[in-house]
Amino acid sequence: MDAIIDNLPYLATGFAITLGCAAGALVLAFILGSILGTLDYAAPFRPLRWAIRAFVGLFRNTPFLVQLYIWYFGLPYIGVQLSPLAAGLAGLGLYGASYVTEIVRGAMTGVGREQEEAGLSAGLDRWDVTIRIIWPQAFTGMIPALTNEMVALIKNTSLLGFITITELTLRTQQAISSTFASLPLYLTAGAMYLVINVLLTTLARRLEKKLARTGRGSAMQLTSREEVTAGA
Amino acid sequence: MPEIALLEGTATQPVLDIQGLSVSIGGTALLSDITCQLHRGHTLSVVGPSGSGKSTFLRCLNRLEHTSAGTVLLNGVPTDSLPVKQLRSRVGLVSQKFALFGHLNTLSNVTLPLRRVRGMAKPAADGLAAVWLERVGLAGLERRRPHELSGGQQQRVAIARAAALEPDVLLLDEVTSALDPELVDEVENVILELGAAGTTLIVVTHDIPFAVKVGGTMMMLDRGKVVEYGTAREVLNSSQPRSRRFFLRHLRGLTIDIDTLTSR
Repeated sequence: MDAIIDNLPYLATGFAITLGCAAGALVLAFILGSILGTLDYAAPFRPLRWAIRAFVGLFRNTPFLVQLYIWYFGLPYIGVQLSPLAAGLAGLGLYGASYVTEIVRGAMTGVGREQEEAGLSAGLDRWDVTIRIIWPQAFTGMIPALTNEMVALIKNTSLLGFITITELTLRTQQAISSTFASLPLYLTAGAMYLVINVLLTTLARRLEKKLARTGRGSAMQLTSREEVTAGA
Repeated sequence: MPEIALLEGTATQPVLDIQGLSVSIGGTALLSDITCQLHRGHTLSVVGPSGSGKSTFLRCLNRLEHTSAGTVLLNGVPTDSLPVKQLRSRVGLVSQKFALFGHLNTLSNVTLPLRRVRGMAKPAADGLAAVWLERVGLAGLERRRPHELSGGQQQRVAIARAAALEPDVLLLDEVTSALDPELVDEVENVILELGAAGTTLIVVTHDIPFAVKVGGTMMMLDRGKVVEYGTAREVLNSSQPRSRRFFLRHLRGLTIDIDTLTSR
């Protein structure tokens, strides 16, 4: 117990670093993924879509740790030396973006051709249809998958210790090497990850329910016969 | 592509002049050599068996479908020379499915195209949309979301959305066929009122009595070709065996009094 209390400030600092890295990488992953996913859905220019598919294929199908090593230990080979933080954010952010791209594209495709044609028939251009009709309806459907992605990304920050970022997992190991209190300290670290992830998933579920309740749900609701006639 | 100045159709110039329109996909002809004309304020009803090309015909007119041959002139201007956005705001289409924008309320469904396509300011668009919702009998439901409306109400919003843009011609593709039977009349009445008010309409339907009520010209498609073209009386009295069989099957023994249906 003493080992936990003595090392708590040290671990808490590590947790703060973990959260900071996760937040930065999440912003990068979600923004880049949303842009690429939307372009993959809507871009009329085929080579652009091929480039996006190539990006997704490359980053989703190789281990995150290998990508992280390339960013930090591989790039200096061609004269590019990133700081641990920059390599960590680039690694986590791009890896996450490859998943978010697919989530966004899939959810937009799921809204359906009818919505798209209804918009086009009304004279809206492709961009208006994508941003004002497809996106808002796709968003609710994306929330569960984006929540998964957020949790996965937070857990993956535990690998940043391999490139010398003193986040929670690395600090836990350092504390164990001086106290030998392996189980109590690993459990403490695990509890910290657990708390933040449970908190975030709960918030995400609330947001999803709220959006569904206010009728900003996906177009799928409209095809339900019960709901169509219930309002009559 | 800059917008092209479109003159209003005159008494002599048709709103739509369709010449030799053909569509084929992968060697299969979906439409062959459709030729017809539609004057301002007139209506054309299109009937025919499933798969005869009725929907494809409508979708060609606003370029949701590519044509293989032929020309479509809108007020004398070839539609393929128009920016597609301009064409679609001039040639409105309402389809079979209730394709309202699910995340927007009734009013916003109507105002979104007014604002983005016509470039109207919000107050003006709101006002015009409210007028149209009242015309289709939905005053007071402006804040409802699509899933809170019945199918018939949804379809009337879709008609208001298309009609509010004041297109040169409004295309209606089987707009009642996905509705519960008791909701069909309210939608059909809205269409008949639009026709009576001088909106140029093309109505695709498998409901023969309704096609008769719409009045104007009736066109029957079969396997992608025009097989009947004329007044309802002429078309329904066709001597072609295939046409006769089609009408007999669709009227299910019902005899219809053309004079009653067309007097309004």
